Amino acid sequence: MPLLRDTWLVFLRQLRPTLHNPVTGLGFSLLQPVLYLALFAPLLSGMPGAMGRNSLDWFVPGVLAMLALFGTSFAGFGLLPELRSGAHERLLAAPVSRVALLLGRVMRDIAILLVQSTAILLLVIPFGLRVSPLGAAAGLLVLLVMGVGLGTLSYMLAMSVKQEFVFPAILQTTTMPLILLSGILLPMELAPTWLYTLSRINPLSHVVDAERALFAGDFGDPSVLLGSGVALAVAVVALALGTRLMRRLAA
Amino acid sequence: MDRPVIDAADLRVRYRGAESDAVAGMTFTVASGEVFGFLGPSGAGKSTVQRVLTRLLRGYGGSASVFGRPLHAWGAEYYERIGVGFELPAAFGKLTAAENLAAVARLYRRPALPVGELLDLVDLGAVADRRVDGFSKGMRMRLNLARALIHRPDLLFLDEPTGGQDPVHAAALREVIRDQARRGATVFLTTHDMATADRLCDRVAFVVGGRIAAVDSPRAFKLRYGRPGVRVEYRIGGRLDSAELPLDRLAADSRLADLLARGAVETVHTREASLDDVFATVTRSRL
Ligand SMILES: Nc1ncnc2c1ncn2[C@@H]1O[C@H](COP(=O)(O)OP(=O)(O)OP(=O)(O)O)[C@@H](O)[C@H]1O
Ligand SMILES: [Mg+2]
Repeated sequence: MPLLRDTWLVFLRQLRPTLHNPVTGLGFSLLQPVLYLALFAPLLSGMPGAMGRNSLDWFVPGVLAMLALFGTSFAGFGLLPELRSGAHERLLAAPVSRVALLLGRVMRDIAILLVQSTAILLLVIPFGLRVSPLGAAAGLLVLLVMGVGLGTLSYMLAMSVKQEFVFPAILQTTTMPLILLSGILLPMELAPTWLYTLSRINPLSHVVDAERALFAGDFGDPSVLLGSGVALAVAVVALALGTRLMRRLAA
Repeated sequence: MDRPVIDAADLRVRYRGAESDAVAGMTFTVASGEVFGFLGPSGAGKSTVQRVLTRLLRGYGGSASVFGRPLHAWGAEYYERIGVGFELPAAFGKLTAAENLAAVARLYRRPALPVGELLDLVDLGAVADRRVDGFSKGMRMRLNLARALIHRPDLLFLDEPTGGQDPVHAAALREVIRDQARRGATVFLTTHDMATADRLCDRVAFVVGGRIAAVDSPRAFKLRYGRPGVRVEYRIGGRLDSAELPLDRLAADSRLADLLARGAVETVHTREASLDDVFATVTRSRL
C-alpha cells in the first residue's frame, strides 16, 4: 500500500538527523522532565495525603504526560524552516502520498516520545517508583495516542501559520493553561470550585488522571476509560482534519 | 509533428491579495525533446508558470496539458515523469550530499541513477560525504540539479540551473542539460544567463509583465534584432575614436580602407547581435 510505504520512508528520513545526533535530538528535551523530577518532586514529599507519602508515584505519570504534551505539540516547529527554505515544497513535487508526509513526521515524534518516556521510567524506578508494569505500558500507550493527535495539530498549525515568531507564541498561550489546569504539578482537588471546574473542561486533566490510575495498576478506575477516550478522540479528530488538509494542499 | 509535451493556453495566475495578474494570459507549446527557455525581467512571472506546470500552484486560469493530459487530471504519478529543479536550493542540511540524493531516490518507483555517478556529473563527487549545511550556493544549486535528474524524468523543469556558477561550472552544467535532451528528455528552463539561453535552448520565450512578448530560436532573434557589422577603434592626432560599420555596406564603404591605409586602426571587432541586445530591446519595448 503506497500510503504505508510512503509513511515509512518519510519516517526514516525524519529519523535520520536524530540518529546522527542523538544527544541533541533526544537529550535536551529530556532535561525538562528530569529537572522537574529532581528539583520539584522533592517539594511534594512535605505535602499531606497520598501525594506526600508516595510523591514519585503521584508525580511521575504527570511528568510523562507533560513530556508528551511538550514533545508533540511543539513538533511543528521543525517544519517551519523546511516551509521557509522550500524543502517541504520539494517533497510535494515528488511521487509521495501527501498524507504520508504528515503521518511519517508524526510517527517519528511518537517513536522519540516512546524512547524518552521509557528512559524516564527506567531512570526513576531506582529512586523508589512503584508501578504496575502492565499499567505503565497501557499508560504509555494512551500518551502515544494523545501524542499522535497533538503532533498532527501542531504540524497543521505550522502549515497554516508558517511564521517563525507567531507559531511559538500561539503554542505558549495554549500549552500554559493546559498544564496549569491539568493537575500535573498539584492536585486540582486543592483548587477552589471555579478553578476545579475549569480543570475538568481541560482534556489533558482527564488523561493525567487516567495515567495515575493506570500506573497504579487500577484498570477499573473510571478515569481510565474517560482519559483514554479523550486521548483517542483528540487523535481521531486531528487525523481527520490533517488528512483533509494534506489532500487539499496538493493531490 | 508529434503532440507537444507542454501545451498551455491563456494561462493566468493572480496571487491572493495582488492587484494584477502575475501571469496574464500565456499561450505556448513545448515540443518533445526540445530545450525551451523562459527569459525575462525579474518578477515577470517565470517561476510562477513553473509552479503551475509542476502542479504546486493549483489556482490558475486557462488550460494546460502535459503529456497530452490536462494538469488537473494528473495524480502523484505525474512526479514520476517530471523532474523539478527549484529556484532556491533547499536540501536536508543535516544530511550529506549522497544521503540527500539517496533519500530522494527512494521516493521514486522508477530506477534511479547511481548516486555516485550523479554527484560526479555535477562535480560534487569529492564532497559526497559532507553535510550540505556547509555547501556554498553554487554547490547547493548543483545538488539541486542532480536531485531533479535522479529518476531520469521525461520532462525537466529547471529554474535558473546555472545560478551561482562560475563560467567553467556553468558550461559543464549546460553540457549535462544538453545530454538530458540528447537522451530524449524535454527541458523547460528559466534563466537570466543569456549565454545559457543562447547555447542551450532550441527556442526561447521572452516574458514581460506576465505575458509572452516573443518566441523564437536564439539564432532567429539575433538575426532579427541584431545589426551585424564591425566596430573599429582608431587614433588620429593622438585622439582615440571609434566607428561602427554595418556589414552589408562594408564592401562599398571606403572608411575602413582609408583608416587602415593611414595606419590609424587599433582594434577591429565584429559586432554580432547578442541575446543580451535582444533581451534589452524586446523587454524595453514591452515594459
Ligand atoms: N507567493 C507569492 N505571493 C504573492 N505574490 C507572488 C508570490 N510569488 C510571486 N509573486 C509575484 O508574482 C510576480 C511574478 O513572480 P515570479 O516569481 O513568477 O517572477 P520571476 O519571473 O520568476 O522572477 P525572478 O526572475 O526574479 O525569479 C511578482 O510580481 C511577484 O511579486
Ligand atoms: Mg523566478
